[in-house]
Amino acid sequence: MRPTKALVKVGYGCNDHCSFCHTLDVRHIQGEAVEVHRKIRRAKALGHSMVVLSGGEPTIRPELLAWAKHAAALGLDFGLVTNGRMLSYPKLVAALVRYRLRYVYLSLHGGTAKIHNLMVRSHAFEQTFGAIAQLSGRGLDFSVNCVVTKHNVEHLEGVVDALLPYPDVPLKFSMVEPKGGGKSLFDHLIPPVEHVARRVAEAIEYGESRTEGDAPPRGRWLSHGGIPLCLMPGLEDRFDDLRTHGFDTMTEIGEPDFFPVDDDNKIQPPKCARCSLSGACPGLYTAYYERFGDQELRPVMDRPRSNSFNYTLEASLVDNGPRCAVLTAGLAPWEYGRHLFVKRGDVIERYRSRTRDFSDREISSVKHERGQIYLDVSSKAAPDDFARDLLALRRSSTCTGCPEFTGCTGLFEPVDAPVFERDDVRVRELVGSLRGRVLDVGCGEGPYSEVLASLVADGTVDYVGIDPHPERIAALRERWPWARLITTTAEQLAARTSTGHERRDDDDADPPIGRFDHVLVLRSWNHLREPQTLLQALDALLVPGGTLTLVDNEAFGLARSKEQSHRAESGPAGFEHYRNDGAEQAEALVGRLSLPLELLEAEAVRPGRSNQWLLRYRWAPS
Amino acid sequence: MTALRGFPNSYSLRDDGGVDVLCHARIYPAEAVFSATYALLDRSYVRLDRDEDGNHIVELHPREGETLREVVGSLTNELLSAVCRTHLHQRKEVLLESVTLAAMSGAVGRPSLDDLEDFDFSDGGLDDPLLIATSWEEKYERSKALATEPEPESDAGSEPDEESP
Repeated sequence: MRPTKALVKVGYGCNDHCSFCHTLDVRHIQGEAVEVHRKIRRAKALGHSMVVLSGGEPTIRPELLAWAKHAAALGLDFGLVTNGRMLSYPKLVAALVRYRLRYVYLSLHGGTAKIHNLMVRSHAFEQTFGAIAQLSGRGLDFSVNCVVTKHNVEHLEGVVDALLPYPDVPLKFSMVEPKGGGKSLFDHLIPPVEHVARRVAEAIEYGESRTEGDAPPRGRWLSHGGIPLCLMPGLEDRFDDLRTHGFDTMTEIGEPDFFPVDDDNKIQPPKCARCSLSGACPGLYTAYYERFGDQELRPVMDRPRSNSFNYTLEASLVDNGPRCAVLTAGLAPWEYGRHLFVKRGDVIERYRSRTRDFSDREISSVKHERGQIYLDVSSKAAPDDFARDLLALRRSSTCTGCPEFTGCTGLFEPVDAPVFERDDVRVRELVGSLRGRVLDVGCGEGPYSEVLASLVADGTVDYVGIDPHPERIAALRERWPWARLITTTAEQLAARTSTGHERRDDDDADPPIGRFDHVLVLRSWNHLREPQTLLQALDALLVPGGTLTLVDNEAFGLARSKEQSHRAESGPAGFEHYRNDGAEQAEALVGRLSLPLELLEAEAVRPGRSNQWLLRYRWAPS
Repeated sequence: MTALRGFPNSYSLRDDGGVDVLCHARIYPAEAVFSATYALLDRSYVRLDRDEDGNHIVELHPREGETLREVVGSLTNELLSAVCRTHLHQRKEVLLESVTLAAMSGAVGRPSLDDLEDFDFSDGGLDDPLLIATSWEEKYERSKALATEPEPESDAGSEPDEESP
């Protein structure tokens, strides 16, 4: 099972003096031994399986072995974030391994003494590099981190070379953070992130080429951190951070409890809002963005992304009442978005989402602002009948009036409310009221069959459906012999209609499709690569006074057992959505295009409703 | 919308009698905009928004008895004041955090008997013949002190010199 790590800062003193030191201004503060001791016990109580000490430099503390021993006595594995100098002593490494040392994250900033020592402003290279020899080959989860500044950005391949003799040691390149020393010496240290990305990509490529054909294969041993993913094309999945290392919580000296690890020091500027990579992307360090802005970023808009995520069951506790169980456990360690407490009778279940398909901000919004979290009560890999398979989760009445309401991750309860059927009634009504020629963009599996079939049969509606998937069109043709169905994308259709040259495909032996009284985009808006292309073709598709109906679903979260999550995540389903627009984003896009569309009806997603939204417009050219 | 007379172009009169003030995000951090507009809540109705470039837009409507020009003028001054305070806070942030952290460390209180009960005092610390586990500052101070002392007759020791910061 994957270890869950708690990061404990033991103080900020250090035997190196890195120019970019995060804690430059507090190096004089060292934590009390007993505070660390107490926090190791708290880590155990919170259910972590490993405690990792960091600083400053934790290995210069005389209490190091006592802390390791204490953790081992509690049944916890032990880890270190370190410059490694003390670990050049074989005796110390052997003692720590006896106390369950399982994880080491070691800083090496140059492949030679000259560069490394310049970066850490000490004669440290021989010891730090010596530690690598001590730690390699012991079966530890051991990796090396190289912080990239102006001083070493042209020498990254040297670090790769230095680690070639150690086949079990992964290497990560991290963009320097403008914090502490990095902030004070900003101009001296901080290189343009685009340049860092280029050099890191080259170093990764170089390392891969040097180890190609190694036996046993070295695998994906090179990674990066703190660099926006749009600047690392082809290497996006090499992204590495505290979460990929399994860190759930951390605590600084003086803090009363553990807090979730977060990305609060980073920002995804507004430019990134619709980027397909925004889920896992670290964005830019805030101080970097404030200085250089976002001009280096290249948002990626053409890749599909997920529209749902899992909360997986972690633990169950008995609700003894009357005091709230979440308050009793302490508020601090639980993430506002990613943790989910669900009260089911006398039991409170604790779930957590570890997805990297969505950012913390997006997850919090889905959970708290949009209210779109559900309990999966089905045994399917993916629920396909939401009304039966899912129970909506609502904030528990226990939370009403609680002073911690807004900051707390919250207690939720399942409610048996037919939100999906209720919100779809209006769509069914609209489809039933159609008259004249209807274009259904993304007709897919053919919903509202019974309504449309009778309208076509009595001549009220002339129906044309388009879908990019030939197999879906073929299946639908069997069910809907009365429909005219075309295999094409909305963008292709828009291109051929707006140029006035309707092209006939082999698959499309029908005459030109002409204009329509109604265009429906039912649960396909977020599947469109470029919805603006369709909108801009409306003058060729809609008659004056015709209507455009947009209906789609926002992202949602599912609370699931470990088995359910595992089954779903190992299933074959791929991503089909290019974004997770709500009514607000779709309306904003329509507004930006300044089209003669008059809004007739709008229903946005909010708590108490399903994740389905609706917009209806009339085409009203002057 | 037209510009508000006597003010820069970034102040636009709204059709509904209010005014939109565009605050460039690179000059006015969000904290400063919040702070400045908060100070005017008793004199105006305020709505905040952002444009596509991420700049802040303050929509102001004077309350009864207030004139638009006075409220807008006050906002202008408040914005400058808030930006100054924000910059000042940023400069002092580390100091404030450092003092608060030290105070909180003290406030955590003395260890309880429970904390002490299973703490191992018997461990004699680390075996460190090369004095690696010496903080950089301590080592640097020692190197400095050695450098200012008269040259000893015997070998002055084998510690590597540390570079100065």
